[in-house]
Amino acid sequence: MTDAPPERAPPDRPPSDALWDGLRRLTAARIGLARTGASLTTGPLLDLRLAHSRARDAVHEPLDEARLAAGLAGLSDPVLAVASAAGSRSEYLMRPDLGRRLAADAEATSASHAGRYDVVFVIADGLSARAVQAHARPVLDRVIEALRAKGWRIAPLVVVRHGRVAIGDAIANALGADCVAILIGERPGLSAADSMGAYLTYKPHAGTTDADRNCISNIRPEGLPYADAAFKIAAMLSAMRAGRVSGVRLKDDTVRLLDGGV
Amino acid sequence: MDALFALLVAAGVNFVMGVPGADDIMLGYQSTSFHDALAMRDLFGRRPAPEFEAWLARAGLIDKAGRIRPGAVPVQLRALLPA
Repeated sequence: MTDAPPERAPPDRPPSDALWDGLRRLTAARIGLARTGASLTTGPLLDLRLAHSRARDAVHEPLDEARLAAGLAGLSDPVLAVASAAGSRSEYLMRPDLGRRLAADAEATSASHAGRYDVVFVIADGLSARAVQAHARPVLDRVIEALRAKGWRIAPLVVVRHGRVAIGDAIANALGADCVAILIGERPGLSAADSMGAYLTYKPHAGTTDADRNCISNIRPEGLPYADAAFKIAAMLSAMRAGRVSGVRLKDDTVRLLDGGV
Repeated sequence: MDALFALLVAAGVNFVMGVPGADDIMLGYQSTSFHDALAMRDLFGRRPAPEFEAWLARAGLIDKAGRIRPGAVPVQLRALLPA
């Protein structure tokens, strides 16, 4: 550090630099960030803090069950609303085990609609309620239409507050469904606080583990668009039923839809 | 994240992740950024690995003192980018 200090240059590259604008159109990554010395300038630093705060807010945001259930009406009625064993958002975040278990009255709610179904769709807040509020309906529209056309018997939809993935297992058993597909809000990243995941399981039971599930991730218009996600979910469920298996022994051989339509 | 990073560097860690702006958009993770690595090098007087430092110098990205070069994008890098 005996060299003369570097001349105080103005912050490099204003963010509007044409070179970086072209590259930014190709990626959502935070590229070409202006720096001063070795560190970020104030603008990009505040952008990052804002993104981090948005992610935290998304995790804590409560699910609006009434609005979600109303938005899902008409697909496979009735829409049942249940809760996990977690009593509050903070308890849900601190106790993952409670998010996998149904509340005391939830089993009865499901059992009163028990029947013989090929699949039940469960919609849970997970770590981003806004993800399912925004994306569950457009995906389910397409999946349910595709499966009904093949004669599938679809159980009533189930909305879960404070739910984690495995809670779908108990719901499938209570309703009498062979497959469970749970749509759930994913842990928010810094660039996407509204990403939805779909976990598919064939004949879940008490010993079911994550190795028995298939996951389709990053469902949102800027990630895996609705039509592609719906195509994959319907194709995987069909393969699951045909092969009587789910999880690591079932591979996703669906070709990506070329239209990328939303 | 900064505090943990500083602790690790002080303890002698010699590899950290670098993703643009600390935002791993593929995995949805917050990680450590290229800027973070530069700042830690400045703070602790650490240099890049010798072969990496030689490459950085050849590419015109650092000055003789090993600091990230101030100013515009180096000519060598600009030549690789679309016009």
